[in-house]
Amino acid sequence: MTNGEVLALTNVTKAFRETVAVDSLSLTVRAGTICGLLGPNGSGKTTTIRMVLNILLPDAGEIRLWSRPPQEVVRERVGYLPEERGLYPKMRVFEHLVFLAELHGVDGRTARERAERWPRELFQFEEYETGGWAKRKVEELSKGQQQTVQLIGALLHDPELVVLDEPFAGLDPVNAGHLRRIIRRLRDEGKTILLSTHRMEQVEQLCDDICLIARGHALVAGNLRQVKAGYGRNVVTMTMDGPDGFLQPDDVIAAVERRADGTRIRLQPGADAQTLLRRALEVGRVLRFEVVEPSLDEIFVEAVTAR
Amino acid sequence: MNWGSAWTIIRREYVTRVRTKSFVIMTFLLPALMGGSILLPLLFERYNRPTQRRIALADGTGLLADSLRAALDDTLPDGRRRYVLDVVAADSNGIAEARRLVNMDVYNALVVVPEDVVFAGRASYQVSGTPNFGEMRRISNTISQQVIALRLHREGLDPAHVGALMRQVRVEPMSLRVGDMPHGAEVLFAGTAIMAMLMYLSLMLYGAWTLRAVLGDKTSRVVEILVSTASPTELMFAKIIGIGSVGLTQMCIWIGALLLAGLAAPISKIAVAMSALSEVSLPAFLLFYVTGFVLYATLYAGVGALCSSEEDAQQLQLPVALLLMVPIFLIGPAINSPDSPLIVVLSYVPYFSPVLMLLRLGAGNAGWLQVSVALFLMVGTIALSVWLVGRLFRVGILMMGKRPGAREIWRWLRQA
Repeated sequence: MTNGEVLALTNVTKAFRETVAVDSLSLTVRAGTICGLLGPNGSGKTTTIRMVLNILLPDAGEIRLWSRPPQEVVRERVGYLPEERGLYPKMRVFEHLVFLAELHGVDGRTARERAERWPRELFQFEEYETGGWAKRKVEELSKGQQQTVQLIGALLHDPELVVLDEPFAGLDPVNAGHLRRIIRRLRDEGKTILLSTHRMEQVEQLCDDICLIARGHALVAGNLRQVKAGYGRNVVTMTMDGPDGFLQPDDVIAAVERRADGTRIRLQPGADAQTLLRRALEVGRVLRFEVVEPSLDEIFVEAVTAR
Repeated sequence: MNWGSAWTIIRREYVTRVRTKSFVIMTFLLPALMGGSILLPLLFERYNRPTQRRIALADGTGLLADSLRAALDDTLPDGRRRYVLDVVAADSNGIAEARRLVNMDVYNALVVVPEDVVFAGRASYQVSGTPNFGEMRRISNTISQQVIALRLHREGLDPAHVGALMRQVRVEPMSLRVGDMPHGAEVLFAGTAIMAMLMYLSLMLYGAWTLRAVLGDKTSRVVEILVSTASPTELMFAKIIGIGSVGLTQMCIWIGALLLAGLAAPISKIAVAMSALSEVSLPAFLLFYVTGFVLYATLYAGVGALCSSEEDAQQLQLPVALLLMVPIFLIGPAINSPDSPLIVVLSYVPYFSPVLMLLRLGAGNAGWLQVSVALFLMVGTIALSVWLVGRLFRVGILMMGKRPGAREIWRWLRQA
């Protein structure tokens, strides 16, 4: 796999009547990476993904997959897990998987073969055969199980790019961990993954690259390490004895968050952490004082407020 | 265009639906229902157990009782007479008393024949509830005959001789298409009507299935996967073709069964009717079925794309269902007078052609030229509605939630 660009969006804009959902968004996804599309609800993530999948057409700008228009390559080379999960409730799981594979251009024999073996071999989906899953109707499965079926269905045509819209929504921690392992393994197999989420902690554990968007604009984009490094070490975690009422936003302190394991303080741009330490020592005993990298949450809040 | 995905969608639609119980049940049930609606009255007639009827006769002429008794001479299964005729006094007291007894259900009916019936030509048949028309007709016929005989007698003519002279000529319907076979024309007539009904039922049934299939894609959210591999227009065609094939399969099963029945019993009425129908109507029937289905299924698919729930769909499909029902109300007039200007004009309206033009063809009132014109108009309308509905479909298929109003639909049509 070359390290070229798999996906490139250039100044893509999409409006629904007067609402601009995506506003001149540019984004590139490198081959063999996991790229996280981040943003609050209603920030334009799903609209962006739908345009990549050729479900919606952009009003302006250009989308290229492997330097080609999406409609030429989406069907056979891209796998898609929509935000609104959906399977035909009356269909049997095995038949549904075959249907999804064939929909993406896999021939009937290969589709049946993969639907037979892949769920167990590739996804450690042990119950698939033993529990008679394959023969069950979709409506008889739990929601989490249906999501697994749908994810497998999105991968049976062996896509090079996998697009997952809010893949962690509605998953318990065990299943979320399982899904993270699957996503990492897909990346290790050389696939490229674009996923959207509004949960920053998932991204920090998983993504190589990120793109933060809010109200259709890209606020921050790039390699996760570099983005974090670029914001500098402007966050302090501190535990102290004594009144901490002085921790109010001012010329040094930008924001304060009191957590169970200590207070997290974001400094104003250019402010010195030592100033804060001196102030703390004046009023009490400092038990712990550490300058750390900002979390994605903090980067996001800072990026939004900076605009 | 990416027909690979469309082909997969068509196949799924066809295979999953043909395997459903409702398809199998409908395939057997519908002919059974139609056969039942014909057979039931016959069975009813055969197994209906008549009860004894008591009829009071107030006869002002005093001449009718014997002949009425002679005319109403049926017996019940147990050997008793079915009609018991009591002669009551024809004066006002007698009639009033008899009426009272009718109201008390002692008599089932009271027949009042005034003295001047020979000149005035009027009598009455009085019951407490609704009249038994069959019974009344027999009584009326008998009284008429007697009164006519009486009049002839007064003129010095022999009623038997006049009756022989007045014998009516019986004209039998005969369709050259079915030849000399007895009742051939009636069978042909019934066959055409049944075909029109089948056409209507199947269009309605599978049109509604198209709507529900599109709606099902939306409510199950599978549509998002589908439109990432096929364009909305392809999806629309795939749904229509898939479900239309199911309807066509069912139709072919029915026609095949009839043809087989005809082969098995070559001299039966079915065989004669089928061979007559298959000469002209059968190919036309299939052509009208296919084009008619695409025409209506396109509308139903559009309704499905606009709706997000069954309730919405129930309301919005009503206009389409009504459109489909119009020709059904016209089946009677169309069979009786297929050349009436209204029927002729309406038979060229694409949404009515499948039923009305088929009836005209079956009645021998239209030929292949007229059928071709109607089909041509239908194909033109299909092209237009595919273009229009395709626009609605593209926008509507991904919309969930509130059903769009007329103004919003208009905006979609313009901008899409």
